[in-house]
Amino acid sequence: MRDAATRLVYETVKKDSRVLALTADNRNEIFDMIRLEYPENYIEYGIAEENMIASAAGLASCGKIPFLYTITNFMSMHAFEFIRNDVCIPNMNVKFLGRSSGLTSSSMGPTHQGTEELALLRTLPNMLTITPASPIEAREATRFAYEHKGPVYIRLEARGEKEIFSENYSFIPGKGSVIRKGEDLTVIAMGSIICEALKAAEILSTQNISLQVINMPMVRPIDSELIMTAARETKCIITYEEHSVYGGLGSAVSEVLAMNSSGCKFAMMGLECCASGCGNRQDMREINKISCNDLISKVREMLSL
Amino acid sequence: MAQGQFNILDIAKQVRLDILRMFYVSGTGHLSPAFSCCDILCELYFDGIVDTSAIFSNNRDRVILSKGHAAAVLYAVLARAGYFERSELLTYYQRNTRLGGHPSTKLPGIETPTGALGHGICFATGTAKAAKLDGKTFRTYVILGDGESQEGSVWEAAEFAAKECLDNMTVILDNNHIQASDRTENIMPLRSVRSKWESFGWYVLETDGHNFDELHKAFMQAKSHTGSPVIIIAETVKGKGVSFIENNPDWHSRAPKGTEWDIICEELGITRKELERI
Repeated sequence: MRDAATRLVYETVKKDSRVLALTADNRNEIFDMIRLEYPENYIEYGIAEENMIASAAGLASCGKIPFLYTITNFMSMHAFEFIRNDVCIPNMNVKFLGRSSGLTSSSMGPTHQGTEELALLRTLPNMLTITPASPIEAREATRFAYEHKGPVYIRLEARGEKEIFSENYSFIPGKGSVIRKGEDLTVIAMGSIICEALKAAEILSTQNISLQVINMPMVRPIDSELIMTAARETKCIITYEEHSVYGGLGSAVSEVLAMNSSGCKFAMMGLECCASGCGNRQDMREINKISCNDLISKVREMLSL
Repeated sequence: MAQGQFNILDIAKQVRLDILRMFYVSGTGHLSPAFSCCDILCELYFDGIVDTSAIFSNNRDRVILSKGHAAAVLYAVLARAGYFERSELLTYYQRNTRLGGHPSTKLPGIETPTGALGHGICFATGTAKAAKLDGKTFRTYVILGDGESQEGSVWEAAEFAAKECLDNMTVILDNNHIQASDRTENIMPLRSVRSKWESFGWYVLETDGHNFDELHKAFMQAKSHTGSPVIIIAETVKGKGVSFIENNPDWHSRAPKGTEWDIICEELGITRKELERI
């Protein structure tokens, strides 16, 4: 996912000299290509996220289009006020690529796991937040960020996420999409954990349970129409995310359901607070009770089976 | 001082009177921090340092009040320099004003919203870097507080500006030795300001922040210096201009009231009536 997004930045730098690649001692191989081939378009800020963000606002105020790439927590939390005051309030054209979102960092521990930043970012004026589900969606979200005038924050995971979209996928801001049609219950997922939901749908289909799976990359603006259609059609919704349910996808969907008096059965699967435990990503999902098997149990419980 | 001594001194006096008029109406705000850097801003805008004829040009000089709580002086100076009507100054702190307690980008001449400390100087590294990238000649000026220098982000910006050789960036340290709740030395002593900035790779100038000859000389030296960013450490008196406010830590965020206005009027040779209109 992060290679797909940064490669798009590289391609964009080639054709638009306004585009700049900024990092806080966190470049990957592709940003390194920008550094070597287009040194004027690459700015290293060192481990100093606050300065990088406000400085990016200054660059944007002079017509530049800075893409900031570093670990999501250090950018969104350590330097939150700089995103708020310097970028969002004056609506500066700054793009954030936050890597290691969700439980990507697994055994590195909670300092490196981006599991609360949406709760902060979705409160900000002018800010669009995107959590891609796959490398192609990450690439297209980055393309959208380049074309959109204003702040965009893309929560990137790591490498090697499974692809669920075709090459010609185009990202539409504020829209979710039905990835698998179903009738009994809808899982609204965010991020690459959607693949666990698709796996659950496959397993449950052998038990005569028809699961619908929706991809919801943005929580603000959120696709209320699609959520309400799913509420009407399946009458039962579970949100599914590698993020705190408080302020993340769970909160955002519940707000839509409550404001529209949906009467739909509803549950949130995600993190209760910072993730606990160590292990690989699968271990982390199991320890924190958001694995495919946990989802299957929750579906059966919701359907009173 | 390029202009006549009388001229710039008179302008600074008029700007202070405008600030007092604003506080007479608002009854609130940060008066003392505004008076502290009043002469610095007057020198910048009214003595040929900043090109005020290029307000809306992409090549305009950028002035960033990193210590945003001194907003009143920036408003008074911008209005006098023709960025907006002086009459608008009396809307300071009023409902739906563009002149809030801290600067907002709704107002011409304001590049970024400041007020949270340690932001403006970081923003400024971006405008200075953009000028370098684009081969533009505009300069970026930052008014930084001494108390504000306790923010870690100030030193992030200092490191970056030196690394990128941003010699088109000048920071003026409004070194008044008083912060919100006490004297700086009692809260968090800055110790050797000069050696701090020098060790960060900056070219350091020192000046009396209320002496226009010295300020002018420092700004001209800063303009001609190449290879590194410049900081002008301006020794200032917080509240400069009104005797009982000067150098008094109780006045960081209060406005005069009651009979205090009579003393101010007497000291500055004006009447209360003159404070009511602009």
